[in-house]
Amino acid sequence: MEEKKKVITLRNHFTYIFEEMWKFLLVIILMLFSSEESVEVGVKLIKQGNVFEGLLAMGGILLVLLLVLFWQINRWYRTTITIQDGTVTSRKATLNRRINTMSVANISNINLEQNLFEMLVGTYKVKMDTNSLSTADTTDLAVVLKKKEALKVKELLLSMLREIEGETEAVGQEEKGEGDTIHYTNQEIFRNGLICLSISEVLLSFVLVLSTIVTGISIFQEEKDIMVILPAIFFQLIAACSVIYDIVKKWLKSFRFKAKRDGNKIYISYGLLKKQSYVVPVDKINAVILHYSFIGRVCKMATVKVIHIGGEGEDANGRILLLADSYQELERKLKVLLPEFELPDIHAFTRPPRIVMKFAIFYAFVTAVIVLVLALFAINAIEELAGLGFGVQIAISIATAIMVFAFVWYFRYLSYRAAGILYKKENFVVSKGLFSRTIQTIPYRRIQYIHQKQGVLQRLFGLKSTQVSILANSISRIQPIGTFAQENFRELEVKLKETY
Amino acid sequence: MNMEYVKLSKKARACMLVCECIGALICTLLVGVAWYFLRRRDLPFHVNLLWLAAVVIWCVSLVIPFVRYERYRYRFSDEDIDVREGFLFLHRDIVPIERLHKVALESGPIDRIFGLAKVIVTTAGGDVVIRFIEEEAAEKIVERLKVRINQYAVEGREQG
Repeated sequence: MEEKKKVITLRNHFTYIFEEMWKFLLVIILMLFSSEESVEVGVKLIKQGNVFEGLLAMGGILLVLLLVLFWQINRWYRTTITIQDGTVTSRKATLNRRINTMSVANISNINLEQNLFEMLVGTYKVKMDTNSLSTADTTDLAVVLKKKEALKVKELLLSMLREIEGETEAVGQEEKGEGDTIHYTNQEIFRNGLICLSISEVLLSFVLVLSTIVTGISIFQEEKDIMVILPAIFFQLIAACSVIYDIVKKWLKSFRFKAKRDGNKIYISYGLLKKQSYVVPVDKINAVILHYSFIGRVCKMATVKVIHIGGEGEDANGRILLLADSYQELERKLKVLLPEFELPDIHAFTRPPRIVMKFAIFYAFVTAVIVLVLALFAINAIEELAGLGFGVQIAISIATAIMVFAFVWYFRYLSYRAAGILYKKENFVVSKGLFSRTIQTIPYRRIQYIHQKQGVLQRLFGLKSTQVSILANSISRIQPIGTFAQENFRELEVKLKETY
Repeated sequence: MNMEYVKLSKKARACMLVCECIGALICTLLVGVAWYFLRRRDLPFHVNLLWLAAVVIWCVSLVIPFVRYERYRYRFSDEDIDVREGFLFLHRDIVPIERLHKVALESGPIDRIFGLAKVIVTTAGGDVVIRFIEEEAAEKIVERLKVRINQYAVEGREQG
């Protein structure tokens, strides 16, 4: 880090080159091992002094490796981030020259991240997320620095932000006492991993375990050669263990989960193999999500997430704020972290009218008829089935159509059961889901616009579908509300109007 | 600013009709290509039935502009923009002007033939497009919206 007259120029730590290249290196090594002969010829040629020919004889792999290494070093050297006069400028001068300048005032989050490699070499990734959604791809920045430098840069940017926001605090979270920090025990974190499992993971594992047992029984009954089937059983068991792997992964990810409210910000840190620490500015929260997974619904436990600009990747549809807990516990903890939001009463929702389910039956029927026709065509198109009698063809098609009808109806029924809306004084609450249930609290002032849709049948039955748009990543930007009686949405328009 | 819903001009209907006809023409060409390649193959239905699909497409395409034109309404008040449109599905967008970040005016080649343009308003949560507005009216709308956005920005700054 070079510091001259308040000009700070940052460059990624040199280990960033290896971090960027390790996947490529792995491919190269695998390729080298798979072509021993060309390596031997290449080594011979290099020993004879014909370096270029030697590299070419190795399938050009090493030559490519050197070129990529050169490219990465060049990119590393020519990429800098400069902090000067309240602005952050990123310069990338490789084949394309790109200079992006943004005001520090536009930074919504400064987060520290550390993966396993960075942990080993003692570096941290400083991530700067901007308030802007439309320019996020070009203005969100990340720089890998040694721990000391990373903390210094984070603190510097935070102090600049505080200065802009007119806050007087001079110290960051790290220097303050633990106060009202929300902690979790290892047992609670493990429970969170279990609760957060999706229905598909559980079902897949269940099916695999069942099929392993069935295969095992058939071996003993039919006295087959166990050595022939053993690998298949082994792989089925490994696949079945993916649930355990997933629980452990979630436990490692949420290890030492800690959340603390300090002024207008919430500081969150967690992770063992990949340490993450991020700041959620309370005034940038656009929605609070209470999420009940399938297991969570059975155990009456939910997690709390927040949608705010800055969440990306797996956090795009909400960043975790509180791990799985009972409603009462979440309510208590949310009062500490985010007293501005209160958890909605999950039994007070306005439900969709019953006609929605009749509508679902009609929809399932139409889908089934289409499937019936398509199935008839498909049977005729498949040579092996085309020879079947017309009666059999009809029976197969009807059976397929009935199955599709049942599935469509059941999914619509699940969606109907989870659906609900609730108008609170300052927030609009939406409940939706299938096997899991998500309850989103969106402040009216955070709604960017409302989009309503009404089909022919919906008009006939007095129904309407609505979605609201909020400031978030592309995955969470459009929030579908679902289909309700059209008069149920009038209050939404009125409440939105009150905010402008 | 207008408080009542405004209907589109007759030019908009002609523009919609041309757009639909172009779409129908492309579909007819695709049907023709499919018919050419499938005519000698053994199909569970008569291959000439494909042309029936083209006739249906043309019928629907000729009806859509008239229904859509009758249903298209927009309203710019001091506080919000309200757009209603649709053929089978009726769509309605309500956009508070306070939430606008950007206003854009765009016109494609067919729009220009009819002297029409579209106003694209951008919020932090996405875009809403108001189509088939006469160029002059669209320019006035954009100007008014710009003034309003600036007013909101100044008010926002003053309130801190």
